[in-house]
Amino acid sequence: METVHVVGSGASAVHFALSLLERGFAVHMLDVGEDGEPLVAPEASFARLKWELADPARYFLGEDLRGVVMPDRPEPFHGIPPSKDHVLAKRLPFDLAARGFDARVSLALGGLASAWTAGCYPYNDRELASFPFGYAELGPYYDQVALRIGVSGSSDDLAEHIPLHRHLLEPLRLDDASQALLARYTRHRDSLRRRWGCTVGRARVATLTRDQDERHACRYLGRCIWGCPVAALYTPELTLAACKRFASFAYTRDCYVTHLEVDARRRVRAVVARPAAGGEPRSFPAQHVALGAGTLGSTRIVLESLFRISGERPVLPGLMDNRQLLMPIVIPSQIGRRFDPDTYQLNQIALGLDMPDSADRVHGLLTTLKATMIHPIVQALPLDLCTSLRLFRELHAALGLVNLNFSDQRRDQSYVRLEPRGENAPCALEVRYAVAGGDEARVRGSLARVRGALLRLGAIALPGMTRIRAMGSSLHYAGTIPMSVEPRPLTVSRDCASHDFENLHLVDGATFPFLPAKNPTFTLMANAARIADRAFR
Amino acid sequence: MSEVSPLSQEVRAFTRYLSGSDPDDYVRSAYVRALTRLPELDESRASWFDRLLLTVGRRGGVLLRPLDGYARLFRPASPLRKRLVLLLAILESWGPSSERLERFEPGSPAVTLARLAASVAVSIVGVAVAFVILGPLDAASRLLSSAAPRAA
Repeated sequence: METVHVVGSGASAVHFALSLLERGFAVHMLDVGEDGEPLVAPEASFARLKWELADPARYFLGEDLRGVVMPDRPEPFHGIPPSKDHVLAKRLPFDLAARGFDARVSLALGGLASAWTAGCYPYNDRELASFPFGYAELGPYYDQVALRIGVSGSSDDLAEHIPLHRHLLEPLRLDDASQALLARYTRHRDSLRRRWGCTVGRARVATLTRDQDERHACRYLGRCIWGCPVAALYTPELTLAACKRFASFAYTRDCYVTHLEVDARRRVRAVVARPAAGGEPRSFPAQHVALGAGTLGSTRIVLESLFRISGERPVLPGLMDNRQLLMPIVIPSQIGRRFDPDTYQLNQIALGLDMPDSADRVHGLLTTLKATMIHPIVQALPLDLCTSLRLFRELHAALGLVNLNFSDQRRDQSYVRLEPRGENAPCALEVRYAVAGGDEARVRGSLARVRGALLRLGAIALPGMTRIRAMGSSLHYAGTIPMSVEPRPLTVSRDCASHDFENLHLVDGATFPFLPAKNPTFTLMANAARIADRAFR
Repeated sequence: MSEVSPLSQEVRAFTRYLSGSDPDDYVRSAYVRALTRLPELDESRASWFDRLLLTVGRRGGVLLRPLDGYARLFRPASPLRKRLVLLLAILESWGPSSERLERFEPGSPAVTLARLAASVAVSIVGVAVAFVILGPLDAASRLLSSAAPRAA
């Protein structure tokens, strides 16, 4: 039985591994696999946790109070709670020098998708135009992954731009504010589509609405961001558990892969790894290797391997990330109401808008504010806390956030490379992102359009509060070692086989030649399953 | 009559200000524990103006709201502001106080907005008064800090 060594345990890696296992291959997964705190009080809602835990401040704020958002907090607030704090690595086993990019790496078990917002939006043929395949080829793998992870949603107007895959579960129960917005869309649908090219529909999310295997249907506990206690919300850890049921699967943890050992024919002989905190390296002889350590992680491994065999430090252009805007909104019809804390915490509405000057389409997620820590919001208001608290609680049910994603393209000015650090020191990973000319104009130009569409939907964008996030903040990295039908150096084939190393595949976003505005995770999983099916027969 | 420690006075005044009620044992102990873990909130490291804000703020009552508003706009990193935010984070994590923080009388959008507008207006007036009184002291404090010789 052939063994494939898979590096990483994120969304791409686990679906690639499971597909291989189902095809009769043996898989050995090498992973750092940092874990967070165990789930607490599985039956309790977000509100009940505050009563049932013996020390709720420790849970909500962290032992070291890192969950307290102070006025002069230096780092950008990602909204990740202490229970998921491990997902974005604080200490890296390598030096990272980023310029123009808020570069983050995950060493967590399950990777970045351990703290994702579960959006599942297949790419359509227009978005796949730069890829060496279309929806006809990728579609069956969206179906396969949907069956594995459970995706709920509706067949609605969004299907015009977001292909409907099979096995879609019935949608989640809507909160009052989301219901009001959708009702308003139904009434003003024609004008929204005609004037703003705006379509609105139910978010498609990897959250169960019926029991599946050991996982339970969503119980509306309002703990989505903190860690779903009933496993309704999918995380890659669940697919890793499925892999572990195979006798042909081995999982080695605390394994930080430094590089690949390669022979003179550029065939990978072994994967070299060491404990994440430092220690003696260990060599894992390998027949086939698949890198699924995330775009930056996989790219670093390839660059380090090349450097060790040839001394080359090539520049890998084309790093991409989705530009994101966060636009707080208020829904006037909901002002003065009580909010219901026992609802699905993440976004329930998705929207898309055509941009008139380009073929681009903006993808948006509309989250009405539900159970949440309130002090980060309250302390940011330009008022005393007493007044801010009053404002917040009386407007809580009417508050929401629109998260807008913009597409990105590969450009030479945005790249990754190894940066030397002295004779005996390991190289740093240099990440450089240069904003495209006209990007700011594109983004600002879209704001008026989005505000207009939101107003028609019955939501008002709060003036002066829209925030353009730094590049790198969306954590949707892609594009450094892209698919190419021509066998060029530092690219991969249409089935993501490396053109540089004989028995190496890359199964994560490093291979994407274009980054549409949609959340890429569902496509990462589908592509990984596609690679396993096509490349390993 | 036994003397109340500044910290006891502080947690009581701040909790009443934020939630309208006295702190219970859990809130008191969580707050004290948190302060030991956040050295940046140590008042001995603060400027004399920031210590003044904290000393007056501890008295609570009607002064705390305009002081807090002033600190939000002009001294956002002051110990007063940070300690209030810390306590708010603790209060919202604890069931009984969290419920008090979220308690309000529902109403129509118009009535609610009118209520809120009045509250914001009062807040703005309070900050304006605080600015008139504290602004010169704050400016003096900043001037003295910038003119002070740097440590060798």
